[in-house]
Amino acid sequence: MVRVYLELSVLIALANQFDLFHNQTKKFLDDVKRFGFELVSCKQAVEMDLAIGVAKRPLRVTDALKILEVIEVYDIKLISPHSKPLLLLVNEYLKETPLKIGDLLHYAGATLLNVEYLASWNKDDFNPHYEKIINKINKKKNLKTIKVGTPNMILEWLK
Amino acid sequence: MNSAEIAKQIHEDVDQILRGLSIKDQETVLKEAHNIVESLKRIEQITSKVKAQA
Repeated sequence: MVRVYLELSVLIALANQFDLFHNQTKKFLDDVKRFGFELVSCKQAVEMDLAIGVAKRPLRVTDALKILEVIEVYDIKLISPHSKPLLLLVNEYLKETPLKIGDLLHYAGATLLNVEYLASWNKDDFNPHYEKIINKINKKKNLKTIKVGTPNMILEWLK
Repeated sequence: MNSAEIAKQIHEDVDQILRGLSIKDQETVLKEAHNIVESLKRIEQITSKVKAQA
């Protein structure tokens, strides 16, 4: 089954009805489900984001709980790859990109979960430029290569 | 802030916490994050139950 990976920005947009991307995110998930694709995210990356998001305050506790609720409602599978290979891969990526570890946990999670597509609304850090760098490393390590884009871009590719 | 900006901010905070740590220490931090999320879930369960009974 084709797997579509949801990065944190997509989960936040889904959980907040007032977010700029909320309606587009809902449509994206409905369309992806109609295709019969599986929605996934990396458990460790999401848990780290929620814990730090609450601790450092961009998120309130209720925001974090709402995100957990929509993950369940939309049947988004939080899957845990083994933490050590996940972190080793993050550290490999760190040598080649200026990206933040928070971003790289999602790139590494998506790679180890063998997804086809990684969806994010954060175009600064999840874009074709970084996709190329990440995939170059993945190819070298015989890992899955992934397509990275906004939900709208992914829907266009699927048409 | 929209979802993309919030996620970007959180990922920078995650970076500040994990960067420079050994893999073993990074693994420990991930475990602690898991524990925090589990605690949040338990708090929610307890408060929902109490509110439902009230």
